[in-house]
Amino acid sequence: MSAPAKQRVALVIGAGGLKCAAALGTWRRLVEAGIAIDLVVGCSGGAIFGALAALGFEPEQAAKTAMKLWLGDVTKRVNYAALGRASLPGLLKFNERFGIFKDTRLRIGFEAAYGKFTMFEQTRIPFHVVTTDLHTGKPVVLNRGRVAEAVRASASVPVVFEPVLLNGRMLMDGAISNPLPVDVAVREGADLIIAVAFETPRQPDVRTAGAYALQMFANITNQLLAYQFAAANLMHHAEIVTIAPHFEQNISFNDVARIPFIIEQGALAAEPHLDYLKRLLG
Amino acid sequence: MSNARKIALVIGWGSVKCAAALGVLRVLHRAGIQIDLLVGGGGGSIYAGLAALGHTADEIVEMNARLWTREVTEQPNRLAPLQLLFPRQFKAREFFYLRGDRLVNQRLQAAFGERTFADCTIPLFITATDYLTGEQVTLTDGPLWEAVRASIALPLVFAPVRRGGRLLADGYLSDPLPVGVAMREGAQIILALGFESTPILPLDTFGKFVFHIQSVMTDNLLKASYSFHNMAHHAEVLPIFPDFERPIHQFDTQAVPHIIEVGERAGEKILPALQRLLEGG
Repeated sequence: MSAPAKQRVALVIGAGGLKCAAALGTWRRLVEAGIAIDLVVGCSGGAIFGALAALGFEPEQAAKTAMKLWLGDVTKRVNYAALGRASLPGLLKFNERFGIFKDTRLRIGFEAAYGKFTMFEQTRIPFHVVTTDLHTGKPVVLNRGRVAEAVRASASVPVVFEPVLLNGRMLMDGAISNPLPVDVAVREGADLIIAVAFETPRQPDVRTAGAYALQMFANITNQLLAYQFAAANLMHHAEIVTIAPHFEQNISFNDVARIPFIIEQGALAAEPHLDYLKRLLG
Repeated sequence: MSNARKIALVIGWGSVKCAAALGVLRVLHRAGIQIDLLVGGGGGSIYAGLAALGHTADEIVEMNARLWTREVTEQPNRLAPLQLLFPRQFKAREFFYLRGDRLVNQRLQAAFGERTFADCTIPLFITATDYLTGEQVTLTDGPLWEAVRASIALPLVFAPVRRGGRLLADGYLSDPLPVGVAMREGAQIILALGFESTPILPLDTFGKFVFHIQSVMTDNLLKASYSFHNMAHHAEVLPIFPDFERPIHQFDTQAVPHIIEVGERAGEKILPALQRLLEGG
């Protein structure tokens, strides 16, 4: 049984790094419950894993690919040239394409999983990726061109990976402008939106400059998400069901071995909503 | 004489640009319009605080020239470079900050003296952010200078403030333009004075890069919170977003006279709408 033609169901996956793999578990439970997805919207980590659902993988296959897609050592290869430019800007000319880590492994992982030349037009479910224009600060939604390139742009976590120049725009992490892009699903005509949401973890100890700065970004991102979500809820008539997978511990970029556990958390979080969703879809 | 409808002035975050509030206060003063409620967050808390004590705009302009000068933001924390380069060996005792706060504390104490919220002739609400939880905290009691100091604790620039078991930092982190506080306090007409960040392109140093990203997020937060509050409540909100016509950098104290003038023009612009609302009762 699939959703009646009139109800368009969107799966929106917010920013949240590796935790976003949980959306694959949520999606698996939806598929098992006979809820078909008409639209996938992803931001940052949400785009990385959302792409697998959009491309037409079976849930089991998507889970397996997720393990390979994210090479465990994406943050091991330091970009010393970029660090040099950051510490000696006068001498080495700092520029905005700055990231502490080289993105080669990240690109290889995405291209292997999605296909290097797979275009948005080829996805089985329409797919939208949210990025941010670094110069204007406004969200830019990508739904044309190469999927791997768009996902790479959306995953340009500030300071960690460099922004991507795409069609004349310097694009970076969607999380800095629209961490949980339910508004994109509304604009695309969704009636029922299943939003998988993640909070940015807070720092337990803020005594070093780095932890203090991370806490500043966590505070702003979480507030941004809360206010945007509240505004979208007020502004639109679409039904929004929020699923917030829970994690006891922080999940870092390199916790690839825990992906199966993360996916299960997403499946568990979906459980209490399934009956309601089925009822809504008749 | 109090108004038939409760008017609030909310002064948002914007560093030195917040002085535009003085221009708006001048316009209101000339038009004989009294404010029933003041809300300030970040730099806005300085002017909300002084206005709440009953100072006129012209008095505050004069006080401001002694309060917020270039030196305030030029006091280095000499340990900061070591803490940045060797975070393990030189862990900050409590937090990391780039600027010492002795001078800013002295200046705030000079301006506000021993006065507390209880001394305000206009009810005053100052917002800060609980740095560990990210929640908005509204300060309504205790010494004014301390509340303002917490509200302007710009992360990485000034150290946060411990108060009542919380670690308080700049109000903008939770809401750059806290109209929600005025709504909760029952304001019916809200003058919302907000500021967007000044672009600092090209991003040719690491510091500028990080600062720019932080500004992008803050501007997006401002839009999100402003549109939410506008939709969720029935209060009339009159937005005042002054157009400075040229970039005003965060600590550009020399631009203050120009900023006040722009604030005055922005105030003039919304005055007819405000007067219509007041006549409408």
